[in-house]
Amino acid sequence: MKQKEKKIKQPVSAATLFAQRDIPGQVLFVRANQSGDKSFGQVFLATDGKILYSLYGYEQIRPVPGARKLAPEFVETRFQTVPLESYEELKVERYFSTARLVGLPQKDATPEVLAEFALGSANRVDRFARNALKLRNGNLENELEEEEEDCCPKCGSYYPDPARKVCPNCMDKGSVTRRLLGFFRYYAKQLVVFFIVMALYTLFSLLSPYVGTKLLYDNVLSASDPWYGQIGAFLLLLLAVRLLSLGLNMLQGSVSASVIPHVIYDLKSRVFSTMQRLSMGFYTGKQTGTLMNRVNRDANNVYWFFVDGCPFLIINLATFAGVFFILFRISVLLTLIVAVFIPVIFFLYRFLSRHFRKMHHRQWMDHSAMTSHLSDTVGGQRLIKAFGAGQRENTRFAGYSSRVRDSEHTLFNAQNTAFPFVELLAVTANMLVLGVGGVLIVNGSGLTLGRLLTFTAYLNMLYGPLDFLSWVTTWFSRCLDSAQRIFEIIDAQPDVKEAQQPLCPEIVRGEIELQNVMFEYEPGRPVIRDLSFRVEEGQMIGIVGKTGAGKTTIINLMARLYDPTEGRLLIDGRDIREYSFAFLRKNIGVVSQETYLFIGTVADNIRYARPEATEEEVIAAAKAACAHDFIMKLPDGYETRIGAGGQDLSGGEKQRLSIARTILQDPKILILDEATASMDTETERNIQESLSRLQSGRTTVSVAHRLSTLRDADVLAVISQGKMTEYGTHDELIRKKGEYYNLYRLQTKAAGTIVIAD
Amino acid sequence: MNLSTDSQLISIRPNTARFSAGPGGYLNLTTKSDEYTCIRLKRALPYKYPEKYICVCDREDKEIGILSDLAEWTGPQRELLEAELKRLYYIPNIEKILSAKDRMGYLYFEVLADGNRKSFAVRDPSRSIRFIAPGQSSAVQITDTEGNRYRIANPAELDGKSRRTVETYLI
Repeated sequence: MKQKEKKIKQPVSAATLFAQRDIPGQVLFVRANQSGDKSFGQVFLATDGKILYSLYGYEQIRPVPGARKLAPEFVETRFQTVPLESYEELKVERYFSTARLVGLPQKDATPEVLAEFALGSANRVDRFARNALKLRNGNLENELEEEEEDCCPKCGSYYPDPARKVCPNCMDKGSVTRRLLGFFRYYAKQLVVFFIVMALYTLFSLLSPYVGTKLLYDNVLSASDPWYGQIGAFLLLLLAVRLLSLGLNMLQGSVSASVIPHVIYDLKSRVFSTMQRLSMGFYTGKQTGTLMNRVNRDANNVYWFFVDGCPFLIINLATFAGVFFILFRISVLLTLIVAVFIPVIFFLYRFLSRHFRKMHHRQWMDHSAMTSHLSDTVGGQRLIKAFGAGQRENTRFAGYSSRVRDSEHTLFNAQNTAFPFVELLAVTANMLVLGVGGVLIVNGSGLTLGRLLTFTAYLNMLYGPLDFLSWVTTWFSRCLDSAQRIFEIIDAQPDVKEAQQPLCPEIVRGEIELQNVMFEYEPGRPVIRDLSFRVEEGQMIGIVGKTGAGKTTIINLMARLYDPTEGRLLIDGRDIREYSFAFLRKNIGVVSQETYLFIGTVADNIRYARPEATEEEVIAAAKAACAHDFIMKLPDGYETRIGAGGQDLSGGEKQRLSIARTILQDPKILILDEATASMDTETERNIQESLSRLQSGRTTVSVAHRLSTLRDADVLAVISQGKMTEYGTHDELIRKKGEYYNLYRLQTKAAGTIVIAD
Repeated sequence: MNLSTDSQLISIRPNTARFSAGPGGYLNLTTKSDEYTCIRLKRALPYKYPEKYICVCDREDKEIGILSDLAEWTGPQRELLEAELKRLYYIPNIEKILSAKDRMGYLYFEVLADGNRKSFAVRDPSRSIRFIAPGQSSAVQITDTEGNRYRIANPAELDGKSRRTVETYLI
């Protein structure tokens, strides 16, 4: 007999590979997938701070001699070494599907390609490269990089999502279940009632066939029985059993309704409160963005399993066990016949449910593609009509629609063929039971007609639970997956954390200083590099630069929505990380281009900055923001409902409300992020007036495309590719004739005014 | 059509330009008027015309010009360009899907790609597994959770089980 081989998933370890090469001292490793030099495999990099070692090759899965195992074996194709000291800088260049680690002998010198690998490994190699330089320079603060961080430490498989570090093979389903059940602990009494009701419901369900058949045929209709002819009593008993069963079912639903929504409420509340605690990085991260979208769906998955799945799981399990017990009690021989069919039907159901799940998925995908296309064309009707593309769109829609038709046709066809086949098996089992049972009755082997009919009635009760149990495990797994994702959010730690004993000074001057600040949203892609400047108390600084230069990132750092990757940001001479969140939110006000209004009244929206503000303060803030006049023209004044579904406001009106909100906040540091970028000239002039009032007595940081907005700035910083290229007053920068001068010249030219005085 | 000078394509042709392999592993370009080191090649239409409309950029990623068609280049020059493109655009080809398991909302693949066994996971299969061009007969591209790309050059040539597996997720 051929022995079944067991596969080892543990990948080849870089540490093991390099151990044979006798590299002295502290060593850093990294593994990258797929080398880019014409072959598919792996590249391992290592360094001891002096030499960079690159090992290319691929894994071969081979049987382990003398063992029932498969093990990966690394086949080396190339090994190269380069002295690390030859390079001042290491960087990763990303291409379409591959990436390269390159070394620069000196800044601005011709780079040299040191290793090539798949794009997906670029971040990992980038981290390695940075640590390699630190190791060389003797300032590696952290412990050595963990080589296998993208692999499960238990089974060695790659994590499906490197950002989540959850291995599907080793996920502790028990602990997730226990944690999920922990949410039910406050409802222990209701749960006890729930289980008692379920047990009683199952019991009465099991009684129904006995009363309906055995009692009828063997007692009420049997001339020799004392119950003979008691039709009325029989009907009353049958009615009582059915009514009780119905009542218990209703009670079960009611108890379930009093527990499950509360548990889901608790779960969602925990998730929502965690979301408020988490920093901006969590929301902007690609991986977590997907997680967030799933929160609602995941909570619903858990909800429906507990509402629909869990009660029926218990009922079906109990029914299955109870029915089998009763069948044995009625006839051992007939039960043994049934026992042959049960596993066949169970596995057939299981096979079909998997098969149909795929077909349902196919149909769902085709349907979603058609719906997306439909919504796309409805939204783009103007464009379609403008380009006279109606016929082309009809053809495209017909393509999507025909795929839906085909997948539905395949699914229905398969269902119509497969289920009668399962039914045929069930009918065969029933016929065999009736045949053998009939023989037993005729031979007088102790089986009565009533008992035989009761047996077949119970037998029919088996198929429902069999069907249910064949696919409920998949449902349960999906519920646990959803719960796991919810717990991941609950357990997430914010990147921006408040200090243990945060500062909350009463007096704030409003000085800001950036010291060698570096920041990156994604590893290896710095958005801000080595940025240093100082803004004095009450000064206004204008930050100028092209789109994507990093201006908004600077103000995000000033508002402490993120922390710098390197360097420090000081407020009144203290690191921004030392202050409490409450202090920062109170003293740093942001007016951005994207104004967000919540659903509520105008007054509620202005008061969002300071809920305890009086009506007089709200009106005063609106007046200062030049918003009072338009508010008074709204039908319900300050009580007009705005936000989604409410009164529509123009961009300028929304912006003025946002300014009023910030005026009410009364911050010492004011950040204006393209506050008037999308306004027409007249509206901008109005808003500038309200902004000027807001700026008085505060330190102001203003980011703007239109340089005219920054005419009042005391000092200007020009940012290009995350670096400060120019710094000075308007006159100084104009005289310098650099980037600011060029921008200014372009804008004044565009505006039709050529007033540049040297 | 009246386009401004900025929007005109600057064509790089064999009679006016010459590519050479630089010492650092990059390509260099010499034209009649200039010399460029560490140039980059970028396909404008990587799926539809992988051998046409190839932008040539300098070290600062600024476009120097465009190679309209690789077929214009012959001999060692053509080989040099093809080798560079292969390095930058290398995507392993899936020959067989050994298994595809749906776990925790991810599709966990085990495949045979370019002769090697490889495991990877895919998030949101309807977006990550797709035909690279409209129509049901083109190559299929699969992007894993790390952003690595895999390709099935000709889905019709896959074995029945592999084809059925991938078809389940294709729109």
